[in-house]
Amino acid sequence: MVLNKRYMITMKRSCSCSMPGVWRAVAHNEGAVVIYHSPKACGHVTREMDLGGHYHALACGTFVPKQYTAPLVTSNLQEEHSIFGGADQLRQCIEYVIERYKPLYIIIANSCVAGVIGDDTPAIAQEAEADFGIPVLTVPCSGFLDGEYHAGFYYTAKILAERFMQRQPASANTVTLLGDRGGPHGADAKEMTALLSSFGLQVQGRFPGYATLEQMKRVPASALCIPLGGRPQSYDWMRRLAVDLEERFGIPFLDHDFPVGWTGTKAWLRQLGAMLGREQEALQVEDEQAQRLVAAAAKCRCALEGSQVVLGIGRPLIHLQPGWVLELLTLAGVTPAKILLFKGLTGEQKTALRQELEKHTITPIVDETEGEVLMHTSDVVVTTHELEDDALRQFYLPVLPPLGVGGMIELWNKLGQLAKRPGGQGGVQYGW
Amino acid sequence: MAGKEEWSDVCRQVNTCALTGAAAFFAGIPDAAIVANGPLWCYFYALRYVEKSCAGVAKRFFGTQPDNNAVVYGTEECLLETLASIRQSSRPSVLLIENSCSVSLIGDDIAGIAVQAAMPCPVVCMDSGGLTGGFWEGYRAAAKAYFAVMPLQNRSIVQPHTVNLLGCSIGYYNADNDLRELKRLLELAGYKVLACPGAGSGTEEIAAMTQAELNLVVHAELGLNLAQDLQQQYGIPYLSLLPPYGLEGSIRWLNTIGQALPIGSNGLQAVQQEADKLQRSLRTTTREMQRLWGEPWFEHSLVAGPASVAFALAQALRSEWIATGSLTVVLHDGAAAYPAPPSIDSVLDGQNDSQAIANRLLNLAPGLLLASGQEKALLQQQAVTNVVCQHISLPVHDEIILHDRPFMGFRGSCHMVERLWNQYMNFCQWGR
Repeated sequence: MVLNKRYMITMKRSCSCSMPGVWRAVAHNEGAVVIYHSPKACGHVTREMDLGGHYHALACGTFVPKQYTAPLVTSNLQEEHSIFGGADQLRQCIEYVIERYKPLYIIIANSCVAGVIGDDTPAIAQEAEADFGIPVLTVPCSGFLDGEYHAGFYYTAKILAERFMQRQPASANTVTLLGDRGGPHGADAKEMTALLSSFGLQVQGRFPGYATLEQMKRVPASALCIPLGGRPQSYDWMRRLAVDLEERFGIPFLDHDFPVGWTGTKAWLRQLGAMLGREQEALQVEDEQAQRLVAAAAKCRCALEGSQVVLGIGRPLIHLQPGWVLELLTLAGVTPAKILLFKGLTGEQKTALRQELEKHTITPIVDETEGEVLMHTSDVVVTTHELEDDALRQFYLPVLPPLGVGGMIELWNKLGQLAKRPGGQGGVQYGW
Repeated sequence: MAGKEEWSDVCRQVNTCALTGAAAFFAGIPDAAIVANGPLWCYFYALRYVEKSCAGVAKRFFGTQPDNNAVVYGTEECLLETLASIRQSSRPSVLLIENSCSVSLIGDDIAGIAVQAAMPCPVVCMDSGGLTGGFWEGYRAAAKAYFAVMPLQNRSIVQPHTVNLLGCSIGYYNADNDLRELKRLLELAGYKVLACPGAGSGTEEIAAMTQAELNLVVHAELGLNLAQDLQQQYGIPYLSLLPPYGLEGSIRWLNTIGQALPIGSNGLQAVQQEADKLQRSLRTTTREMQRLWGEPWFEHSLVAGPASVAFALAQALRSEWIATGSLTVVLHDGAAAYPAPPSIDSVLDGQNDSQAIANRLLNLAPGLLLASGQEKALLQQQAVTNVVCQHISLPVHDEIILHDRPFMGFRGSCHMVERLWNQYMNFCQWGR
């Protein structure tokens, strides 16, 4: 097995592209077709990413066959278009898509190449819409320029809401989930549905993904929207979508990112209870969740008893909020011997991380080089990056934090399995 | 739609980006370093692709991470920063700087910047983003660019019975094992392999490749152009054949080489002896199984991969390995440098016949699929069962090969027959 040894790579700037965000927003929306105004290769990169997701879903047992997958067609920009522009190419591509797929709507995502060339994609889309009579929508991002994955996802949702939704009376106790956390059959969806049903709330749909046009049109009838972010960057964009929907259609939203960690879960439950005027129910749900938590934490405690654990961080704050990680370890009876900041972080990123970590722990925080010996003699390294030393027992923290107590239990189970590996067996346990 | 460019759903195709193809060629030169002058997203994708079969490449594959400003004002600053870091941390023999598609539009003088950075090794500069094509275009362009900058020794000495292998790449599935088997077979026959540019040979070995009597093209879609260039420039003759799959196919391959590069009868005798021995063993073992399980028969078979792999493997499948009804071949790279072998019933262009491929897959059962994880995923998504699947090409997400078990050559033939039989017997027990 090959490990990625990328901890030495510094993420200085944007690390994703807006086009996969556009794609993911509507990839399983019946009747949608996505056009990338891009070289063909950009489509292949997205497909490869999706293929990994397909096999991961199989591994998790959440794969559902015969699910609609929107065709992804690229306008096939080539070198000649950088001189003469790619507008005609895009027009022909739209025409092909309409004839071939007869879509209910088309979403066009711009690549960085289209952005540099300066093609007027919105004008081409408008023209196509007038000619063919179906919605042809565009997103104001250009590849990695003007926003990343989340921007592409958000702007797609925004344009869909603007085009297809109308204000309507709310249907009591219904919820729309905003964002995507492994699709409607994933573990997070199940956890969230269970939490909401404890309050008598029913998930009526998701937006923007996994929604037919009819389901999308019913979103404004939701009594409540719940944004699913998971980390600051994604939550900011999903909250922005929730604000848009509230302003436009009067749908209130729970102004809290989804429940992460025990403190986060309690706060989320209480805020939801307060919003619904069901504070007592919230406390009752909290008790139920506490019981689940205590039982699972005890098991993990046994597995980790006496283990020396080191926490290694190489993700900047924008990609990792360390509070929930430290809480996860504390509840499992673990105080990290040291926290190591990996060398891929810039000085600025390290300073911000130190400030945040010091709010949660008194554990010494050192640079990787200072703690290297300790790391190699520890029993378990909880880490954001795969490390080269295969003898180390590495627990790889997921980029997206787990949802609710169910997510914490999943991580504890895996952490326990890692700690119980026989003899000196090292290796990586992935937290997803 | 006549006369229009053909578009199609990229979710049904297999390819990557030229950035990846070029990186794969240089990753196959152990003392080369690579800089992707482009966004982190494109760099990570290419890195992830090549590191699956080239562990540790992250230490010599870097990205410059330009931001929006760089796209307007140029990438000089971030490129110089990256080059300075390489100069401090490593001593590559050659450096590739490849521009991503949007960066290639800026028109930076990359060679000039490399001179300014005073790199202590030759620098190969090229545009290699999606605008120039996919994996195969990138690999070919990188090979050409490498030889333009890195001159070979004069062809003053030619060692008898020596060959170079062209067009091999770590970007092909199980390539390391196949290459090892090809070298073993050639040595058994009395030849010596001097160099495999882009597949394990360092710069010194490549420089001395002019001493070989013959260049052997293994995968024409990658190496044929290079062979032609090397013949023109250095007078090295070449032979381009379908790669050797199956026992008979491998003997045919060696015999053809023998005609171009005659060798004493001892070598070919040794080859024939090994083939006869394996053939007897195969017959005995498979007959034993035939008594219980009958003759494996597949109503339809579909083989998908890069042209050389798909054609040669399909030929061996039909003529040596297993009985099948219709036999379709899908060429991932879209077009072939060879004529289709007569044993193949139909050939589909993997880059343009998306719909026909989808239909073939939908109607494959009861059948055999020798392809990548992409075609297998398409079957799963359509809930097509009753198909025996065996990976022969990338991408692969659900199989590991730890041992030296090639697909090509004599040992590869035994391996493939073993896999096909085992799959067939499993299928009889669990799959029907």
